[in-house]
Amino acid sequence: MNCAHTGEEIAAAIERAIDESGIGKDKVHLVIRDAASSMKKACRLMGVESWDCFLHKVNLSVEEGVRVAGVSEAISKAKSIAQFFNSSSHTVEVST
Amino acid sequence: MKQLSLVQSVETRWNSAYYCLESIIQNSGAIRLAAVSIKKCPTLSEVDVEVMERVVEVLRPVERVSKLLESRAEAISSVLPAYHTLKRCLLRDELDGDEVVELKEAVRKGLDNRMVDYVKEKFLLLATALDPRYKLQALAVDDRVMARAMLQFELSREELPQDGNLTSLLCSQSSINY
Repeated sequence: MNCAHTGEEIAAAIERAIDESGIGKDKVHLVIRDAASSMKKACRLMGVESWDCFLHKVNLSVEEGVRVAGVSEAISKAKSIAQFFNSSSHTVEVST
Repeated sequence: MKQLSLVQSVETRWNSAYYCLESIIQNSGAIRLAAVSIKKCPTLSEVDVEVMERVVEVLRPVERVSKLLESRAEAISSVLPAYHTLKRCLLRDELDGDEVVELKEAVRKGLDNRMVDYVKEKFLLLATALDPRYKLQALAVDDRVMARAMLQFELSREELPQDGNLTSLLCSQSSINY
């Protein structure tokens, strides 16, 4: 899309896509979108039912969850260890 | 010793943090050994590993459900069963440590806030109620009543044949299809 991502523009783009693909708007029962207000507006303008992506909700909720005390520290620690071993400069041969 | 690589965590998706934790736990023995001989290697205590294990355990069902639902073959009928399953997995357990209690609660609250008023979305209830894998039993008790009422309403909107018999309606429709 080479224009502002407003509800109007998005709606027009989706309607074009539905037309070009030959699906037809009457066969669109439900549009799954993210929770962005421009997407909600676009679906409202098109007059189609729409709902937020459930996995997107799950993803956002877990991201809030892993920020709690204790958990975020454990994750940073894991990250720093993975980073240390994945950077080749530290790699050493260990014979077992 | 089995050779495993460590998974790097990236910001955009929480499941990369999950896989990173998993790989650190799997390799914890080797990492601790390495920390002895390599100067700059970050240390990994036994307590660290225990916390990581508890976090992974909480997130495992979430990861499994996400994996299942992201399949193209999945349908919207799985959303409510997945939601209720996740909520059950995130219930507080008496043995949970502080960080796990907070983690579960934060995720559960986040989900609940985002699912407020889901009963109003008739396609969620109807899809689950009509899916032979789930039917009404997969819904929360209060939702079953709602789903039944919605179904009855949808059926009453269909143009029924003269005798009002549902079987003959279905038969007449299938004869058109084939």
